[in-house]
Amino acid sequence: MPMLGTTLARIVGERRVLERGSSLVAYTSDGLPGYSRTPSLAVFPGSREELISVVRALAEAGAPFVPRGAGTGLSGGALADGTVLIGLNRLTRILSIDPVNRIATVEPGVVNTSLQKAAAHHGLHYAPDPSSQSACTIGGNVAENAGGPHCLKYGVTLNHTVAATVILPDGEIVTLGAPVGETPGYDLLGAFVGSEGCFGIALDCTVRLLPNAPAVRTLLADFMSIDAAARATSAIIATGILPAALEMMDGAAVRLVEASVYAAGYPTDCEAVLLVDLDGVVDGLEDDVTAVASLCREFGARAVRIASDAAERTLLWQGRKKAFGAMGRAAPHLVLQDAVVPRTRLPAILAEIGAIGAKHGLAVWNIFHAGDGNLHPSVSYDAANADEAHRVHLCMTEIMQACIREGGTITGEHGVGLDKIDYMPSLFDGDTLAAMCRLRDVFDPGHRANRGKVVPIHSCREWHQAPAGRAVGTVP
Amino acid sequence: MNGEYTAPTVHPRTVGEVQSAMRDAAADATSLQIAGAMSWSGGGPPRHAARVLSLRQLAGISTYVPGDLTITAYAGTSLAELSHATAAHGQWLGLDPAGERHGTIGATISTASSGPLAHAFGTPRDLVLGLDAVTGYGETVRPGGRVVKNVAGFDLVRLFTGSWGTLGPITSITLRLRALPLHDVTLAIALDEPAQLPALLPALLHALRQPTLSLLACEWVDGATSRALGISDGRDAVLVRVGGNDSFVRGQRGVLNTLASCQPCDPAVWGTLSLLDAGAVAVIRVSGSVSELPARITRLRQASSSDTVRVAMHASLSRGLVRVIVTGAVNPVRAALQGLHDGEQRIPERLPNDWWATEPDPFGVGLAGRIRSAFDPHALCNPRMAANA
Repeated sequence: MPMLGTTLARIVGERRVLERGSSLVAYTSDGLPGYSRTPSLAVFPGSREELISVVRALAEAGAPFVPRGAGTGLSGGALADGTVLIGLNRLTRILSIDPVNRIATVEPGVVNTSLQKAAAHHGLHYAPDPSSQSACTIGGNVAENAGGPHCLKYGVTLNHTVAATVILPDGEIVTLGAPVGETPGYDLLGAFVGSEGCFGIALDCTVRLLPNAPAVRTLLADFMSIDAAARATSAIIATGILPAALEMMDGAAVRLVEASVYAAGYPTDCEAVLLVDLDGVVDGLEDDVTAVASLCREFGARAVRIASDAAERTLLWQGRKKAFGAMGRAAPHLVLQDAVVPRTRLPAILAEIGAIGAKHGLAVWNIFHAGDGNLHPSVSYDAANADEAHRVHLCMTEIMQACIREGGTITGEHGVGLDKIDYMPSLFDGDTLAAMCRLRDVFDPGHRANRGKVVPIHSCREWHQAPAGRAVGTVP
Repeated sequence: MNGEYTAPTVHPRTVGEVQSAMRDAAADATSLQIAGAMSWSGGGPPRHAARVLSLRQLAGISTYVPGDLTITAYAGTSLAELSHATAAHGQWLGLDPAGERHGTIGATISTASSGPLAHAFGTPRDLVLGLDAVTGYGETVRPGGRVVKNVAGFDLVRLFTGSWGTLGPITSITLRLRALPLHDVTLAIALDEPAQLPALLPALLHALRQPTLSLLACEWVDGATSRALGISDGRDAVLVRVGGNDSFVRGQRGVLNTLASCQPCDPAVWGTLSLLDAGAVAVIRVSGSVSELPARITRLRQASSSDTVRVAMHASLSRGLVRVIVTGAVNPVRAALQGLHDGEQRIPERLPNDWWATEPDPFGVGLAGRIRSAFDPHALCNPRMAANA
């Protein structure tokens, strides 16, 4: 669409509009392998005003678009298939930090760790800490309702987002939520967070900042069975002690990490480790450390190692944080799934995941947020091997279905995007999906923002009659 | 949710019956007032409906897995029943909205009501994991789930939470629970004289921002409230709730005692505080930045000072939120209470009808109005009385 490209180039400059296939290659995928989509063009506004003008120009042209932050997403959500891709990675200004009211207002392209560094000057931090935090953006985090290891205690992006100024796909600008105080009416901000770019684009986001905990204790417990580690997890959660993070890695993942440059000193002959952060005020913290360590031993931990200083703590966490990087050594491609089960179902689902993997002749690694019940079953494979790729697909589909059967959900923090859309009818009935479509219609009646994502199009009934029982006549 | 129930009332006992009631209403264009226990006399704006749909008898806990710290209950389940069931497993729901404990969880979530515990646990938006609701179309929607992390699909859970029944009745709710703390201690800082407040409040606010204090609740109460709670004979006070293991609670008391003298206090004060608005003619929440809270309190106190009006106030220090409770004639302080400073929000809970008529309808315009139309196209659910009615 050369004319549209010319229009957009007038707004952002010619260098900030990419139209040739070769220049668009970097934008044909995100963090999830297996999907490739090429946008018709990519435009990179450099200011709020440019972004507004771009969205309004697209509205005038009736052109569909896909917003994209850093492209680290793991659901194919930021891929544009023959439509315009709006890159937000130049909107990187931290607009304000208010340490007294503990809020920060940022542009959507601010990288998560950039905000962390800025907040650290005030003894504060931004709680959501996705593994990609050194690259992913706050705008992307808000769009996906991103999580991270420390969301167990502190909550996900939704719980930390207090306001956003949003440009709707038709160019209207609305303020959702409020930086301080309550807001009357519907929780429109709550609806916007996690809407995966389908409801509009945040021009700015205001998020909560938290004071850094005065004390942190890190424990590593190793087990001779995944089942024992899963049962220990359930037991810890049931006590009510709320760790800042409670992560699990299975033995295969441990051995992979230990064979890599990220070796953290985990015992390589174990079948699972639990990595637990307990934080808070100093008083009473040791009691919780003792209680968690005792529970781990009670449920079969061979040893519980408690980090003696910050350096050891960092080392223990390095193994967990770099585990997916270590997996990259095993095969050319890595599929990293995302699902959640009720926490008491962890032992059962982990056993089932192992069985499903074995059935398909695949080694499934488990590195995940055990305290939330948020699984990340992962498989390294060669996408060029059609048979193996097919078996990976079948394996992941069966794992998703198993999680749904256990009363769980298909995504806890990665979003639906393209990758999970086929599972949506297994999770939600037709009326619920149709209601989601109607909510999207309110924000984007033209269906131009990230179309074809999140909810299957056949679930949307807006083109035919409303559900049975639709009101007739007028209200007296 | 409103106290004046004069219209014929239907009492569905099953979700199917709620759906039938909604479809019947849709078929003959009958407007409905969605009601819970009918205990929040006068709560919310006046409704003008032909029929009342009471969810009180759609009650009971359907799923409770203590090990998951989640519970699913029908909308008509009382807060007292939830407390009773969860306490048996050493757990609780961190929500303590104003009103009677026989008020329903459906009403609590529909109105997104919270109380002092929001300091630690947040508001219903932070605690609801999933829900079932029947829309104005008569369809049942089931967004969310029973897991503590979930980003599948567009967030209808957040949309229905706090929708005041305007999208249709919520029929069932899944909530995140917490373990009851080993020790749960309430302390009171009674101020000797009003002059202490300007010094203490900023110091307390500063302390609350530090990571060394981690409280369940921290609420300032004015002299009238303090007297009603039996804390002092009319002096301001600050109520603090500390929960945790023994060392933690002792440590927190030590930190608090460096700020002011804290005395142990009967934890029943929280229940009394939640009932303080019984018989009030107006209840208004004014919120804004935490840093401006001392000035907000001072301004509202001066504004509501009148010989003929009885006013009680309390404030959440961490949320910057002042709740003003007016008993008796309200007109002398009306103009003052309607005034707002930059960045402040005013949310009325209860007002005289003529005052409601001047209040904007937050569900009526812009995006909100379009959302309401998308779920209840003929505004059958909880229609608001016309502005000049």
